[in-house]
Amino acid sequence: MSRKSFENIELETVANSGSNYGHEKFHAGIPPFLKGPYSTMYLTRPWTIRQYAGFSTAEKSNKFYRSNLKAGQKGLSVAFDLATHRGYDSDHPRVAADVGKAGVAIDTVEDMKILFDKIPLDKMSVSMTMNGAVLPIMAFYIVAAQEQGVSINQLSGTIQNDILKEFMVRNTYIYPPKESMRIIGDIFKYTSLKMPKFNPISISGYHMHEAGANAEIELAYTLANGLEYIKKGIEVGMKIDDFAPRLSFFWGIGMNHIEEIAKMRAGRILWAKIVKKFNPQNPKSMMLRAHCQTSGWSLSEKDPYNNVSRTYIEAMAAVLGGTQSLHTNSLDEAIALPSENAAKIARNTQLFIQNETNICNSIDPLGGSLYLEKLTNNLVQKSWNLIEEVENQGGMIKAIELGIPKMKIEQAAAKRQANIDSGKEKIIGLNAYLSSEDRDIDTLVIDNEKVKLNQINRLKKIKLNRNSENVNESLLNLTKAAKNDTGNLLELAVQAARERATLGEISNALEKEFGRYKASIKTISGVYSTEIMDDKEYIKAIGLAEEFESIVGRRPRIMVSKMGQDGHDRGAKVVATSFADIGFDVDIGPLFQTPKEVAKSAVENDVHIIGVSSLAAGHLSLIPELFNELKNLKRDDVMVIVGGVVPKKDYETLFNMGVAAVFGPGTIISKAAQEIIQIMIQGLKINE
Amino acid sequence: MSFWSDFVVTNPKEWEQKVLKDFKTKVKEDFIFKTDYGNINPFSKNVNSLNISRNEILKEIRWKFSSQKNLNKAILNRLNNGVNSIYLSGIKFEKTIFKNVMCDIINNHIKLSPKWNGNDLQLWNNWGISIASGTLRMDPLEDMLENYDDHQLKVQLDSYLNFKKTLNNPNLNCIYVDCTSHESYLNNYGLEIAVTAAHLNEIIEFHKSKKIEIPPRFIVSIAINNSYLESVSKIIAIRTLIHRISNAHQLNINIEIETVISPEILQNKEFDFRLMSITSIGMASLLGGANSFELSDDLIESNDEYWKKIIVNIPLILTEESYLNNHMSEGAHVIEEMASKMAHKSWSLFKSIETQNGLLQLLKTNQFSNFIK
Repeated sequence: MSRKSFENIELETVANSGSNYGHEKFHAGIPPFLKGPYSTMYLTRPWTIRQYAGFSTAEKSNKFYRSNLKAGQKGLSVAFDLATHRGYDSDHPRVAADVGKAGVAIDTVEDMKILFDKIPLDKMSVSMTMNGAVLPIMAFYIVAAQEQGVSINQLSGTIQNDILKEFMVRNTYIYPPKESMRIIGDIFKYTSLKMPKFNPISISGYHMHEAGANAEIELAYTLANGLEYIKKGIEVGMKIDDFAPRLSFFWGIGMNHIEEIAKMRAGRILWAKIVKKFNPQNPKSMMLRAHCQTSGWSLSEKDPYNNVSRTYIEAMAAVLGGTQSLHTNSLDEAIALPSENAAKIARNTQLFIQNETNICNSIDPLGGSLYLEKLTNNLVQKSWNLIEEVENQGGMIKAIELGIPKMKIEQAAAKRQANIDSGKEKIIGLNAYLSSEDRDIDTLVIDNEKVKLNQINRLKKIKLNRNSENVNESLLNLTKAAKNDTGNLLELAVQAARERATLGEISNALEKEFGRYKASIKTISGVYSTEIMDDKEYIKAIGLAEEFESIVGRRPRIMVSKMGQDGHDRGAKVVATSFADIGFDVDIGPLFQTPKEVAKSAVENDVHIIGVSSLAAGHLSLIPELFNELKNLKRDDVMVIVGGVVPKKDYETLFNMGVAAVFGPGTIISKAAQEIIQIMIQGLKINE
Repeated sequence: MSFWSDFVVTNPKEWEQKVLKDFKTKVKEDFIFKTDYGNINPFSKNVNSLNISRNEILKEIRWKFSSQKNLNKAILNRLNNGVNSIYLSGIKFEKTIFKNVMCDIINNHIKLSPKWNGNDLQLWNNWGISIASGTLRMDPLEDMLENYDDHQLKVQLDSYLNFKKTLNNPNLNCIYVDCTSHESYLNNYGLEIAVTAAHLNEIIEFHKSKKIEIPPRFIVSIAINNSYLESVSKIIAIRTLIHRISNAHQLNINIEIETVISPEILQNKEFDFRLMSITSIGMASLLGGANSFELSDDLIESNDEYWKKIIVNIPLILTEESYLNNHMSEGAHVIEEMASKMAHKSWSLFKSIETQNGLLQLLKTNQFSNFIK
C-alpha cells in the first residue's frame, strides 16, 4: 500500500449498547440519583475535603483545625476521645487511660468554645462523630455557637448520631436501643424546627466495613438502619419531607476499587427506592448524600508508605463513586494516631486528585462500564435481599436484638482473616512480596496524664463558678423527661449545657432512668477453620495446641479482653473465633473493663493467657495496672500478650513490663497461636 | 413490574435540561470539557466505541536500569522486590550483568542504541540464545523528532539494518517504537498519538523498503501523566491506531503497549507526590490496557533501596489488592468518548502526515514544526 492510501481508511467503531439491568438509564440529580445526588456533581463544585481529626485538648485540636483550614481543607470533622463518647467526664476513674487519646476531650461547653475558637460557626460546616453522648455534645455545640453570636439556624454540618450501628459493631453506645432511638427522634424534631441546614444523622456503613462487612452487608444494613430512622421520624409525628432531605450517609471505602464505586452507586438508587415508599413530595428526600472515609483496616503497619498508595486508590474510588465529602486516612493509621506529617500527606492526597487528575471534569466517570454496571446490579440485588430479610425479621432493632447483623459481620471478618492468613488474599508487604527491611516513622505521642490534669483542673474551675442550683434543676428536668417520656431531650440538654452542666452529668441524668447498656457477648465458630483447613501454619498451630493439652492436661485457655472505653472489637472477635478453631478454650471479657476487672475475671476463669486488644493507644497506661492487679491476686504467672495498634517503639517498654508477646496489625493468627503456645511450653520446660 | 418501575427514566437530553434549570446563569458550554481532541460533553452517553479488544493484561512490572554501576546487584534487588521484567537502556554488554539472574523466567528487555558502534551491537546480538522471553530492541528513529539530522538518520538506519540482519535469536525480535518523549514534547493528545502512529509507520515502511522481515511483535512505549481519564483513553486510542495501521499493511501482529511515568512529574520533588502520581499512572495503565508498566531509579531522589521497594509495591498493590484490569473500563461513557475523539482526531492528523509522505519527510523538509503548530 502507498502512504496516501491511508486517506481512504477509517477507524472501525462498534455500537456501545451497554448493559441492560434496568438502572443504567438513570442520571445525576434526578431520582434515583444513580450517577450522583447533584445534577452536575464536581463540574460545579468538588467534594469537600473533610479530615476527621481531634486529639489531646481542645486548644491543641483548635490549632490543628485552623492550620488545616489555612492549608486548603474546607470543612471540619471532630474526633472525640473515648471518655467523651461514652458519656464520662475526664475525671471519671473508668477513663483514666482514654482521656485525650483517640480524639479531643470535651467535658463542658467551655471546652467546645475553645475547640471552635476563631472558627466562625455560621460559615464552617462541622461534622461531629458522636453517637452515645450525642445529647451533651449537640447541646455544647449549640450553646458554643450562640455564645459566639451565631444563630443556630445558621449552623451547618452533621452529627453522626447513628446509634443502631453502635450496637452492631462500634460499641460506643450508652443507653439501650429503645431509649437511644427516643433520643434520635428528639434530635430529629429539634433540628428540623431550629437547624434547617444541619444534618441530624449520618447513617454509617463505615464501621461495619471496618469491622469486616463485605460490600453487600455494609450496604444493606446501613440502608436498613436508615429505614429504621425514617420509621422513627414518622413515629414521632414528622412528615417524610421534614427530615429525610437532611439524612446523610457515611461509607467506608476499601481496596476493591470498582466494587466500592459500585457500592456507592447501588446505595443511592436503593435509598431512593426505599424512601419512595413513603411518598415524598420533595425529590431531595430520596437523595443519598454521602461522606466517605478510606479504610483504616486496609492499611498495614509494615512499610507504612505503601499506605499512601492504598489511600490514594481508595480515595479515587470514593470520588469516582460520587462522594460529597471525604476523609483520607494517614499512612501511620495502623501504627498510631496520625502525626502532623502523615496528616498533611493524607490531606494532600485529596488536593492531588482535585488538582492533578482532571477527574472533576466529568460526572460518574466510569458509568456505563459493563463491569461496573454488572457489579452495581449485583450489589442492588444482594443487598435488597438482605434488607428484605431484616424487614421480615421485624426491622433492624429486632434483628439487632437477635444478634443477626453482628453475627453476619463477624462471619465475614473471620472468613476474610482466614483468606489473608492462608495467602488466598494477598496483602503486599504482609503475606506477599515482603520487604527485607523495617523502617520506623515518627508517630504522634499524646501525654495523656497532662491532658487529663488539664481537663480535671478546668472541670474544677467550672464547677466552682457555676450556679449549682440551676445546674441541678436542669439535670433533674432531664431525668424527669426521660422518665415520663415528655419534653425534648435535646432542648433540655441545651438548657443544662448553658448552666455549665458537664457531659458526665448530663449523661448520668439520663442514665438514672435509661440505664447503661451492656451487650451480651457471643462468638461464632467454624468459619475460620472452614476457610483455612489445608493451610500448613494452621495445621501446625493445631498440633501445638494438642501438644500443650497432652502436657498440661487441658487445652490452652485464653481470655481475650478489651480495657478502657475502646469498643472496636473486630480484632478481639476474630482472634477469639480463630483461636477457638485452633484448639484454645476462649473466654471473651465484656467490653469497657478496668484492669482490675480483667485480672479478677482471668483468675476466676483460671486462664493461661490474657490477650489484650488495644486500638486506642491506652496500652502503656493499662498494661502496668493489669500486672499490678494480677500480682495483687497472686497470679502474676498468667501470661499477658498484647495485640492491635501498638507502635513499634512501645514494644520494648511492653516487654519490660512483662508482656510475653506483641502482635501488630497484619499478624497471621495461626502463627501468633504457635508463638504463644511455644512460649508456654518453653515456660513449662524451664519450670520442670 | 420491574424493580425500578417506581422511577421515571430520563434521557440525557432531559438531564441536560435539568442542569440548565438548576444553574440558570450558566449555558451548556460552561460544562463542556474542552480539549485538543474535541469537546467532551459530560451529559452525553456515547453510542459508538472504538473496535478494539479490552482484554489486555498487564504482564510485566518492569524496572529500567540506565547505569552500568553495580548493575547485577541492582537487578537482583529489584527482582527480589517483585518486578518480573528488567529493562537495560544504553547498557554495554558484560557477562557479569546476568550473574544469578534467572533469565529464562523473567522478561529481559535490552534497548540498543542505533548510535552505537557495530561491536557493541554484535555483543548483544550474540547474547540470549537460550532466553525464553524478552526483547532486543532498537528504535531507528531515536531522537529524530527533537533533533532531526539527515546524516545521523542515515547512520541510524544503517545501524538498524545491520542489527536486524545479524540478530541471532528470533524470539527476541520486535519492532520497537520509543515514544516516551512525545508526551512532554508535543503536549497535545491528538498530535502525540498521531506522531506515535506515524513513527511506527515509518519503521514499517523501512522494513518493507529494505525487505526486512517484519516480526509479529510491535512494542510501543509511551509516557503517561496525571490526567487520569485521558491517560486511560490515550492507551486505548493508541492501540486502536496501531491496530488499524497493521491491518492496513496486512500484518498479523501482537501489539504491546508499555507505559512509563511522564518526566513532568519529576518536577515535583516531594516523595509523597511522586507516590500519588505513580499510583494514578499505574491505575490508568491498568484500565487503559497497558501490557507493561515501567519504573526506574529516576523516580526517587535518593539511591535508597528501601524506597525503590516501596515504588515497586505500587503496581503490585494495584493488581493484587485492587484487582484493576483493562476490561473494567469497557463501555464507560466518558472513557469511550474521550478515546474515540482522541483516536479520530489523531487518525485524521496521521493521515495528513502520511499524505505528506510521512513523518521523516516532514522532519527532513522542516515542515514538522509547522505541522505541530
